[in-house]
Amino acid sequence: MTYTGCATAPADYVGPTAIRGVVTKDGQPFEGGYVRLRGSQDEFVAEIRTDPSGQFQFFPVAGTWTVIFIAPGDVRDEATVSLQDGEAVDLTFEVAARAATA
Amino acid sequence: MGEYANPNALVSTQWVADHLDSIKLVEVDEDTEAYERGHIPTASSFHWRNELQDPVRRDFVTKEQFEALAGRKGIGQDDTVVLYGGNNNWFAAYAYWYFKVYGHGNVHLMNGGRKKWELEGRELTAAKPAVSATTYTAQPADSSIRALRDEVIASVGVKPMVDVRSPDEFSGKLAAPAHLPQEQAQRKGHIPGAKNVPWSKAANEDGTFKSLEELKELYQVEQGLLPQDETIAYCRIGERSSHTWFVLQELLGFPKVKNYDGSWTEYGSLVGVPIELDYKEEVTA
Repeated sequence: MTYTGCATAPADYVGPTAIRGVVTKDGQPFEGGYVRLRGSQDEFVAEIRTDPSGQFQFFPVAGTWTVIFIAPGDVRDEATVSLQDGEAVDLTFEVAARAATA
Repeated sequence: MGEYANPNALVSTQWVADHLDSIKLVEVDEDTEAYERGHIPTASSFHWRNELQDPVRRDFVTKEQFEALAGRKGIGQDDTVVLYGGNNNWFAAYAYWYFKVYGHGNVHLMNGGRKKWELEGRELTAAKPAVSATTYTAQPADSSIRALRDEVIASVGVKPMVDVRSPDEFSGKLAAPAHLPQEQAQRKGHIPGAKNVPWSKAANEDGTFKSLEELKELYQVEQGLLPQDETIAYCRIGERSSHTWFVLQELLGFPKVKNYDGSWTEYGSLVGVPIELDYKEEVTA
């Protein structure tokens, strides 16, 4: 399992403050992983399951957030995100084949 | 480790796997398309909005509507019903509460829900089970486990209330969970005097419930709730508070707990009721 990157949406992004992302395995969308959002005091905020497109999204307020990804086979990774008001941050996770099939 | 007050309220994923042919398994999800993409073999599903809510009024289904729903799904009143779903059983707990409202005795939650089943690498299928419709007879609705608006207003400052939303929703920073678009009640904040105990504090990372000792520490020691209290749980629309209602009623054995399913989307839109708002930046001149 690898957290492979974080990018901020273009400056002309118009939409809700958001943390979005996609999970892939062997270059294909990975469905059925669980993405959990935790706040700056490590409190649970929300959790969603990746859809068939491997995507997930949260709409938190500005601040520092931890995004945790878990999947079958004891796959687990996390990323920390600093989010500004009106900003959308895009994360990418890649599931290593051996981990996902363990 | 101590035993929950009603240990039969929960069954394990392994128990479900061992009894698929002898139980009525029902998936209830926030993501209403999840079932179609894959579910536990033999499971049917409830659509929380289309099947558990009245299509016109804001209310849950009547006794007759519930009977028709259970009958369509092939459930008999004496069947062993097991409910599970996503998001750590949010909506499965909501459906469990419905079954209790309508007097179904033999109903259980699968501990850990869909997530635990998936993380254990167990089978999912898109095949829908063959269902033979039944004639289901429900009991009259049990109002002792449901709080309605007027009771909640009259209970402000009188009865303990547990607001089970996230800290940012409780404080008024957010109007809805952080993974959902932000629309809902007219005002943000919480019912005065309510204790903020996010539902998630009762759940482990794999979706199972915390131990009896941990739950006692959380609700009774840290928050000072007493078993005999007439406690009211609420959230935004009543599903997360069903999770907490389940914990207080079935796992800790509090006998007089009510779920306020109108929750913040109702209370936060009422005219003239008191509101506490901790997130003062939201207040404008």
